[in-house]
Amino acid sequence: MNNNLVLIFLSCFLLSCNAGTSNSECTDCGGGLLDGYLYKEVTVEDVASLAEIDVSANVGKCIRFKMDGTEFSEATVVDDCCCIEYQ
Amino acid sequence: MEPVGKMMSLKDTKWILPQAPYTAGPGGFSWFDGSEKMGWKYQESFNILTHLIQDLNNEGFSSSDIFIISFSQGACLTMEFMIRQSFSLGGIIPIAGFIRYKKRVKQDATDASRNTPVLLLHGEKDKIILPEQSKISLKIFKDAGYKAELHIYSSGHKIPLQAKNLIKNFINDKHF
Repeated sequence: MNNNLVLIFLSCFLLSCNAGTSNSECTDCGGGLLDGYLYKEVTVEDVASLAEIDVSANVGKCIRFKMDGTEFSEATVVDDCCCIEYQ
Repeated sequence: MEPVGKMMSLKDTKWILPQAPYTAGPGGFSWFDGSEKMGWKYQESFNILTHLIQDLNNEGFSSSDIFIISFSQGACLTMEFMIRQSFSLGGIIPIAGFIRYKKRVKQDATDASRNTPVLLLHGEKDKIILPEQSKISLKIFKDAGYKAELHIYSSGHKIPLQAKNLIKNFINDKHF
């Protein structure tokens, strides 16, 4: 791949930026991007793929998922797609 | 790292996730070391970014190909770093941060750095760093001659999914 753009991502974790503030609205989501999970709203194209791993989700619902190549390997319906956070 | 890149779905993009140099408790790292009372150290953090950008330049990336996305304390560092450089970047995207040394921006900002576009993002329900801080940052940047914009989204101290398109559009607009 010929990269023509660089994105440097500076975050901060644990005590360094927000001590004592772990009760975010998203703590029930069970894992964030840095744990390897992705979040997205279900599209029509996703429904069949999700059915293959026995997940039933309506279009527009938010799922937390992992991919194996182009297929879902894991998916869970969650309440809110705001659950993407880096803290 | 990979999920972050996938979420943004930007093609032909190299992602770098540097680790902050200062330790801050068990398992924690910080871009700043010290306290309001003792003063803040951040030279090591500046050095990391300086060397990183030099290495990227040596690899063939121009500074205008480089964007810094940063969150919270990382956003604070990014703003302090960017204004003091003798070059401009493709852009910076400080999310939920604040300018620590507000009064020094005008005097410390270099002419070259003023060509770095700034996209500020902040959650309106952020109780850790209040969104007013990004409104202040916006004014400071504009007063100092930067092209800066601010988007407030409905969220707390986090990067929600809706920030994805704002970031992508900003990068596509400034870079492509």
